[in-house]
Amino acid sequence: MKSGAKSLWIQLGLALVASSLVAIAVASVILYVRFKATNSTFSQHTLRNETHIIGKYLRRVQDDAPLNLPPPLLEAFQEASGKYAIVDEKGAVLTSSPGVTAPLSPIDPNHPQDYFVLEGQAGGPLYGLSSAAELRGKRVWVQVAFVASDILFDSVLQDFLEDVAWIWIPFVGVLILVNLAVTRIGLRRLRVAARQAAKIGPTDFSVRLPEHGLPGEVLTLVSAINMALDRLQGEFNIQRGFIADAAHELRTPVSVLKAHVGILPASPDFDRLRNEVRTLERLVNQLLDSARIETLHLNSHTKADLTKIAKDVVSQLAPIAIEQDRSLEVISNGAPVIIEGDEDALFRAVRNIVENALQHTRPKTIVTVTIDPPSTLRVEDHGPGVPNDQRELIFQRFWQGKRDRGGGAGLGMDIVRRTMAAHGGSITVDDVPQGGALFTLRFPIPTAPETVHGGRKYRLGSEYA
Amino acid sequence: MGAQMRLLVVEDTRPLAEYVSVACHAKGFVVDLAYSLSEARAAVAGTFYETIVLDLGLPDGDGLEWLQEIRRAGLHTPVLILSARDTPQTVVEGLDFGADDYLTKPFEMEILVARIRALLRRPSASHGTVLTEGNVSFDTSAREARVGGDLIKIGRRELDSLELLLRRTGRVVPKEAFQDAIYPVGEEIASNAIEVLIHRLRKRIRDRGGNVEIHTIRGVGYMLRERPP
Repeated sequence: MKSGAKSLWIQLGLALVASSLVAIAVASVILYVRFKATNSTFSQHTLRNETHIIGKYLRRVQDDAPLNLPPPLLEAFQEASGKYAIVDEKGAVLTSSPGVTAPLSPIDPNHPQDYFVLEGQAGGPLYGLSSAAELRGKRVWVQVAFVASDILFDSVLQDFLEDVAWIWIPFVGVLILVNLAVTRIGLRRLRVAARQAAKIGPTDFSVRLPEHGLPGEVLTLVSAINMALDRLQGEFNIQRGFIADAAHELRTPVSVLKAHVGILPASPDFDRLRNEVRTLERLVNQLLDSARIETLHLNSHTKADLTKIAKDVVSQLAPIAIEQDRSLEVISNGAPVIIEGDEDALFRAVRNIVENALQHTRPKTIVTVTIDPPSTLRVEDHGPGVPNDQRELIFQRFWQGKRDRGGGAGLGMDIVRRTMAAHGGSITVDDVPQGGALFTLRFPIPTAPETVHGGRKYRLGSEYA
Repeated sequence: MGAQMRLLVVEDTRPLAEYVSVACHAKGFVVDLAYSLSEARAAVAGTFYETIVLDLGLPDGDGLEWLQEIRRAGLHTPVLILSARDTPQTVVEGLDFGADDYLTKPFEMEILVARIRALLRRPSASHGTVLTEGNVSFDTSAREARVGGDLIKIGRRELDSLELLLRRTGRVVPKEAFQDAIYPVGEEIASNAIEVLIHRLRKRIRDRGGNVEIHTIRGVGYMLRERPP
């Protein structure tokens, strides 16, 4: 995942977690409100119940009997640190819990049932009810009050809610994890598709995104991309085919021209003409080589032997080099030097460098191809060398520096550079101390070294006579 | 060369066929041209050819199929494929189908002529061939080397080396080919044995006024060619 752009997984995950949390919060608020409402109804009911019981008792109290609430009725107040008072119409306290000398709440004759809150108590505010009753034929007020937290029912419900909360928290955690896991699994096919898409290179359109098992919404996008790739590949193949075909077609007239020059009688013009035809031939070959790099498919199973490549190139170019009063040599220990790569493409790349070196090396000098195990090939000439400011430029397509003026369209070094890039290798150019250019091709060291069979005789691939 | 050698050139690009014909004629060959497979069939039905030069992409079919056809019919004439198809697979395929050599277009005319001559010198082509380059010759049956017509006395290994070089004039003969041809398999040879051998051969030829030169392509092999005027 690239930094900067938030991954779809994180976005979906965040949205799901946020919505879960909001849903839970809303549910909790509703539950709390409901709890409060129920709680208040329940406590009012409890208070009414208490006053009702006391009221029933008061109605049965005889005229001459003393006014004392019986112990079973008092128990509730002792246990719950509640207070009570029986007050007559004038506001005088007839009987009360210990310490109560005044009515718990002022009497309001218009309201036979009146709820009140008693502030400033030691154990917190008391919630109470003042309710009209009858004692010995007179109207009295039964006042009862309890601590809010103790009001009876709460403790039960509170306990229940606390228990629920403890279940609630892990439940929320599990919910979030499940959300994240489900989205991650759901997006897995998308990630597979993305990995496939990453394989699409500038010249390789053969990769298609997997459509199997994708959800409908993503499938539409993936199918559209695949269709676009089909069209691109078609167009690309036409273009690539055209260059290859054009180069291939050009070989026939070049062959005819070269054959014609080949039968002319020797003269100074003959040599010049022959070299001009060779330049033309080389350009056509380079166009074809260039088009072929595009079709290069490498995998870890394609192996190439640098020693064999060097010997094949030198074998092929030596007759022309000798004819032009130059020479070629290969310096190696003779053993195969195996790298991962396409032997045919590398042959063409090395041929291009050696051809270039032969163009620039002075007459009667030698161009040396050195194999340096485990994975380096060098080509050294004895020409003017490459000036520092041109060392990047010479690898660009159609760049015509002084070095390339001998002929060729400046495609050769571009072919080498692109071939090396396709192999994950590099090419550099340096000066030779005695004058000349030194091209160094470095390849990645192969992961699994090829075992060399001891008794096997080495043979040149180009020699089949 | 005694009787004139007859070649068949099967090539549909007419100017190319004609230039090949001119070049071969200059070297003393009689050349017949066929511009299609049907013409080639008619030609081999009525005439014996020492060598056939065969293009692959012909207007009425593929040269490779015709090659298979004549090989099945028991015609063992040496065949040199001359084609613009230059991938290693097509070269190997051509040789597997029974071709004796393969040259890709565009080609050097001297190389084509040299290869045709090399094919004619094959033991299968005729016995007792004389290999010649410049004023140096080698009689493969008598196993004698001559410079300017005079017999030179050189050792067996030098003679074998000269034969190898003359069979592939203008081409690099890999060092391994000398080892394989001259020394018995498994024999330990000094690292510079071939070098010493070639050095001796070179000196003998030069001392007797030979006009060929043997080039050393260090790390690869040797090449013999006529010294340019």
